[in-house]
Amino acid sequence: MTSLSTETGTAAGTGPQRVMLVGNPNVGKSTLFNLLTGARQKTMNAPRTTVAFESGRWRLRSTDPAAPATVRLIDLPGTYSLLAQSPDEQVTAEAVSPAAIPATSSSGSSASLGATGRAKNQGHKHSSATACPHCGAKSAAAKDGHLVGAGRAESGRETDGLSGPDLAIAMLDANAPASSLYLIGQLALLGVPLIVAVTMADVARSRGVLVDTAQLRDVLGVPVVEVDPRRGKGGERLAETVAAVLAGKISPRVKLPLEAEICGLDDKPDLDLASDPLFDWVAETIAAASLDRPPTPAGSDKVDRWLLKWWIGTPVFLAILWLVFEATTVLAGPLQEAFEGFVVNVMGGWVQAGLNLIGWDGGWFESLLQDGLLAGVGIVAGFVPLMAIIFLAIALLEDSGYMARAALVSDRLMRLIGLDGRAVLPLVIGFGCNIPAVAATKTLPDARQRLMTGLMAPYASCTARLVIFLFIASVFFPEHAGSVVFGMYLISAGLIVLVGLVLHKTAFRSVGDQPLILVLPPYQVPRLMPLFRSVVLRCRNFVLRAGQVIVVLSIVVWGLLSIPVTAGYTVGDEIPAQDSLLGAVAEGIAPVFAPAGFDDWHVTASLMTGFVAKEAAVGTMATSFGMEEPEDPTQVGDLSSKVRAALDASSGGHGNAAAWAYMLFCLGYAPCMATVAEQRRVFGLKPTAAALGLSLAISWLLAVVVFQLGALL
Amino acid sequence: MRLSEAPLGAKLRVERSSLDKQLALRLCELGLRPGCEVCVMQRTVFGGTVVVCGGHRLALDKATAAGVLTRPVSTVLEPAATAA
Repeated sequence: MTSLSTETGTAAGTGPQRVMLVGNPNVGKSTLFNLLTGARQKTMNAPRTTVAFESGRWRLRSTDPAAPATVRLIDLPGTYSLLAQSPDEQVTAEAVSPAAIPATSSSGSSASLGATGRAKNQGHKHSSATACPHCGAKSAAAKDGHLVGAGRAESGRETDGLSGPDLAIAMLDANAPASSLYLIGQLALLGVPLIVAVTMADVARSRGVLVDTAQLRDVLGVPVVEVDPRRGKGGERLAETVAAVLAGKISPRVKLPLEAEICGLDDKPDLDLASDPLFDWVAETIAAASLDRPPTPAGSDKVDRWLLKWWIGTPVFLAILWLVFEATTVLAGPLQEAFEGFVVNVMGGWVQAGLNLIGWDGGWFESLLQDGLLAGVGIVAGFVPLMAIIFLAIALLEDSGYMARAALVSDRLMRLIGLDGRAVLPLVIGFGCNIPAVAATKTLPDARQRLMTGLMAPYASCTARLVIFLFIASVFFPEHAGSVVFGMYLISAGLIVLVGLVLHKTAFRSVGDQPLILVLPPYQVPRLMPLFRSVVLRCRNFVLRAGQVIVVLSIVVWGLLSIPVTAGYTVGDEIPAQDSLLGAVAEGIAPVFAPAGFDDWHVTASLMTGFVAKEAAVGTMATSFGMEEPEDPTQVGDLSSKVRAALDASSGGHGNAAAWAYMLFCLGYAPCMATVAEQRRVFGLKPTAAALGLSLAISWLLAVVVFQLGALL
Repeated sequence: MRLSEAPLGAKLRVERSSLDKQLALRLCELGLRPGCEVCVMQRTVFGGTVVVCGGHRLALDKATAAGVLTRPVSTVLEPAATAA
């Protein structure tokens, strides 16, 4: 063991040693991670951020008794530099900072250590966000140690992966060795023990670039292993090497004949980028390891010559968006019904039979199991095929290298609201279903952009909301139902843009002001096994993390519907809606909607179940009037007159205005609980709660304004 | 010559950049630094430029590309140039 790992070992307590994967984006880091850890992994959020990283157990299978049997492998967000320029990069920069080095100076006034030829920079300050890999090693580490320590006290094990690695596996992209070596140089300056894993060697080889791992090892002085995670190769060699290093047999110290200083820019206006010693080291290393090749066009450029022309690129992008949208609606629809049906009907049958055996059937307990627990599990199961399709589509688009081109094609449009071009995809998916839309924000490279897109996506009118619009439009505007529904879609799109603009002008002001610098990865044919592996792992993650919340909420709603508030019923009975807790609560909150013209408890009750699933709203309204839900929401029948009478009464004769207000409120007030659960999984509780509150406020205001104006007409 | 004005297929050496430091640093980190050789591959919508440098294929918007000043190494007629 190295001295540093001993030091950080104390920070880690008695847990397994931490090995971190560090590298540029799109070099196959996550594919390697999935290969090495298999299913033994989980996703966590870095302390006080919405940046997620993966952590898993990696069995080294080493015969060396001095080597650990398993290590904790951490997949950090991809970055080009430890001088972070985004929240994701910041997480990586902080995670690799050795935290256990004692604080000797505050971050504001550290003197640089070996500033050869740069004495005038002594005493410079760092920006609070940037880790300074040399002189800041002490100060940044002290600061980070404090931050991480504080985070750990607050949220327990969620954070204990981010306080300095025992070993880093630095990825070297054989196609772009310069930027990989730059990051390796930064890690070495920080004193991070590391070994190098060479990826993309197959693509490089096809372009005539050969990476000689032995030569590179001699130049760098640390082990260099070639891996090909897309084909499942190199994992054993990597494990052997890591075991040998952790057993103390091989040194993980990079030969860095450099007394350099590479600090943040904020306080160095005279920084001469052309003569930064680390860049020189990179250039020398590339020459010494014979990695240098003149820039030459490759096959990818031939494809790009067409795909990046706007008159080809734009239709291709629209076609791909359309395909993904179709997949989430047409393809996923029947699968969703089949999965949910299996849980509710088939498994429900087993539960009934089981309860029958022990004589517990027919009471409140069966009702709780069937209508609360299994209904919730059914909803989760129903979403699994949908999520699998979206995860597969995203993985395909990312793996093939197309996603970066899509970002380029739609960049200008999305930039108007401060977003990356890639944000189009989640927003379009949102019109099919909001839940995979939130999951699809994963494709954006910046945490702030992911959050902003994830907050905008629920304003996309999903197909479940269409049922409400069709029903209300058929009741109140039977002559123009089609136009009204179309109008709601236009309003939805307008609301997305409006929310985007507001967010961009307020909480996300700095997002999207950066100029476009986009790395276009080489096109590759996606490989089936890694794709399949990542889809399964992501679905599992969805079921475990969002699924729990959905099931709990489902049981809460069951309670609302099943607990009677008037005498004469017991829990588990068929309770008329107005005698249930739901009816009582609905009646209690109905006055809130008086200014919007729909302070009627039937309508309020539908909003409450609409939170469970938007398609449930119409059914609730029907049952609250003591009627069956119409098979086709446009065939409104007798229900029509009752709903119309109710809204006419509540709105003082302005039923049509109240109908518009109700539809607008339904569009925005809250996505369904599954979307909220997914938002919580991806972004955490606080942003989700804030978004929920905000959408309730926006929708209420919108409904009130529209009703009041409509009532004047 | 500004990178935004360079002809397709041209091989150029980066001389300096007139961009703000943060941006210039990131370009350097991606391999687009003074002294290195780049090849202009594509023009994209709204005057963007795609260059190959240090093994990366980088897409830059017009303003960023205009801030990178270069000098021709040699004018090689790659297929991309004829397509223009």
